[in-house]
Order: sequence, then C-alpha cells, then structure tokens
Amino acid sequence: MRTDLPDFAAPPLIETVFGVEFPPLKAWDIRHYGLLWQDVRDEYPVFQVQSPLRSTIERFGVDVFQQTEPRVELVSVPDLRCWFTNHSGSKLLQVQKDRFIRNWRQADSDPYPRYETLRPAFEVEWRRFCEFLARNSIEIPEVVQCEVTYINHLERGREWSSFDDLPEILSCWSPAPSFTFLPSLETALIRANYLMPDGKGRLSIVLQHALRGSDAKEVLQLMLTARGKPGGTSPAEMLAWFDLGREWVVRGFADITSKRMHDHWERKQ
Amino acid sequence: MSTALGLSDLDLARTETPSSQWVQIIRRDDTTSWLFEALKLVLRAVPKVDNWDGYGSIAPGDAVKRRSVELLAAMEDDEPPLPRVVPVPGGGLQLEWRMGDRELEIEVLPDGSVEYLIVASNKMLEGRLAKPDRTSVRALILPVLLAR
Repeated sequence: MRTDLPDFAAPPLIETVFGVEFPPLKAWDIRHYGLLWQDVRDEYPVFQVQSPLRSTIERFGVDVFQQTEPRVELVSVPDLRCWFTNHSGSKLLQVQKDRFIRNWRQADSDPYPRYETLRPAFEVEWRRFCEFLARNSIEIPEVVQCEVTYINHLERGREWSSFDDLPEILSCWSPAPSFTFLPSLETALIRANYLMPDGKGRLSIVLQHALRGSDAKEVLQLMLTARGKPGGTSPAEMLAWFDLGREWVVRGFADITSKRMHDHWERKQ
Repeated sequence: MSTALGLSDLDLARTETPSSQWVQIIRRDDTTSWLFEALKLVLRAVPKVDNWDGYGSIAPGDAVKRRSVELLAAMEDDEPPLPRVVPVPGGGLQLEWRMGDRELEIEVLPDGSVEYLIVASNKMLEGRLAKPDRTSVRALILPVLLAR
C-alpha cells in the first residue's frame, strides 16, 4: 500500500465505494438475503431493498465501439439488491447476486477514516461474505471487476460561489475563456475518462451540479471511479487492484483540482 | 427506513439508473432550473428534527416530501412563481403563493393527501385534491398561479 500519495488534512470527501462484480451466483436466491442479514445484523441492523445495479464491466479497445446486443431474459424471480446499514448511517453493505459493495459515508462530523482503515474493513466483510456462501453451498464468486469510487462535495459558499469560479476549482478549466458571445455558465456536467496502462482499467471523473438531499446544500459533486480487472481471483489480488484503483483516484483528484483548492483542503504532500 | 430525501422511489431523476452511490443527490441536469430551485425550497423547509416548533410537532416525513415534490414537478413546464414553503404543525408542509389579490395555499398532510385554499377577488375556495396528480394540478392549481 503506497504512502507517498497526495494527502489532504481536510478533503471534501463524503463517500467511498469499494466493490466487486462477479458472474451471477447460480445458487443464490431471495432467501439468502435474509440469511446473510442474520450474520451481519449486529453490525448492520437496518435492512432495505433496492433496485439492482446493472453490470458495469469496462470494455476496452475495439470492443468499446461494438453495439451491445439487445438481450431478453425470462426470469422467474425479479432481481433485487439489498442494503445492510449500520446504526449511525456511516457504513453500508450492498449485496446482489453479482455484486458485493461496501460504502462509507460521512455521518455527522466523523472524519474520513482513511484508506488504511477502509481497505482491511472491505477485506473482513468480503471474507465473511465468502464464508457465508461456503456455509450455504453457494459457489465462491470469481471476481471479474473491482471498483473504487471517491465522492467529493464542493459546497456552494464554501469552495465556490458561482460557475465563474470553475477555473479556481479545476486545473484543466481555462481561467480566461476567449468567448466573445457565451455568457456565464448556468450549470455544468463534465465527464472525462482515462485509460490505465496495460489494460488494467479505466478512471472515470464526473463533475456535476447537484442538490444534496441531507441538507439541501448546492454542491459540485466530483466523483472519481476506477474500475478494472484484478490480476487474479484471490483476495490478495483483489486488494492489490484496490491499491492501484485508489492510487489512480487520489492522483487523478490531485491532478484535476487546482492549487487553490489544495490549499483550501490543506494538502500535506 | 426513512431516506434523507424521501425521494428514492420518485420518478424525479428521469435519466437516473440505480447507482452504487449512497449519499442522495438531485442532479441539476435531471431537472429544469425552476424545479431545482423549487426542490431546494422544499428540502430547506423540512425541519431536521421533531418538536421543531417547541410544541411537539413531528418533522414532515417521506410521504409529505414526496407529494410536495410531485406537485411541484407537475408545474415545472409552466414555471409559475416559486412558492414559499413552510412546515406546519402536525407534520405537514405548506406551499404558499401571494400574487396581488390572489392567494393560494396548498397543504400536504402527513399521509400525503393535499388540501388547498384559493382566495381571489375576495372569494374563497377550499377543498381537498381528490387525486393529487398532474391532471388535478394542471386543472385547478396552475390556472390560479398563471392568471394575469
């Protein structure tokens, strides 16, 4: 695990997502959500049903430009995703037949627990999930993709006051646009993708204007997501990919944001 | 479990597909500028805790927030003046408009039902929206807000 990455004392981070995707578990059915909850209920006492996530497997090279065939699938039981949440609302496990995800989000004023805590926390939960599968005669999944997402909220009134401030936030946004006609931006949605070398994955950066539900604050949400295929199916190889994905997310964040913002977030290295 | 917004199953984020993100947001590109501002007013009017008025009133719940947003979403194409939004004792929300000699108050009750009061030219009309949907809003509410 690298310790020489850009580091901030007061980052605008409000959520992290560590997840894995695997082929749908054949023996998994609706009973297993309840059985799994029994295993995790002490730590995650709140249960909620959600719509399932679609597969987000990254494609590379010429594959990217191939049309996906329309697919019709007859299923006897609708897919679903379950949320298991801790009491304070800071930790979440998301489980569906082809996905296992652990989220941390800022609850109250709790500080960001740092990657050094989140990484082993994911490992513990993943091992517990695999043990559950083994106990219930369900095949151990072969992870085909890992995902690391960091979600940052830049609050209006704290980091910015209008969209004219965008050059003060993003290092790649020109501070003196040569426009002779266009007025100030009303809103913005910016998306950028970067390939990681050797087909290891892709970093996706999305900046979007939004209203935060918890406190109705207007924010610029800066979301960095790294997705890619781990070197193998062992937990160690999965964690090694998380290290790489996290490195891309953190370095990408430092690259795309301005020196002024780094000062605001108290960059240490 | 109550969600922060109470909007999780609302057809508001029209382009949104389920996401692994947990922190709830309303994306500006999913809404018109008018609706974005209206949603801000609704969310900011909702007290965070019960007993917000010192008389034991509960904070408006998911049904109230969801219905308020649905009512406003039904108006967005016409962009009427933005309402004043205030919590009301008992756990509801009230949307208020005052335009010259016309007044309109819509109260969303804790069970999501909707009552209205229209005052125009010294006449008063009050009632309950039998079906608080887009059709009712367009037939009864918008003509009051858009009248010249």
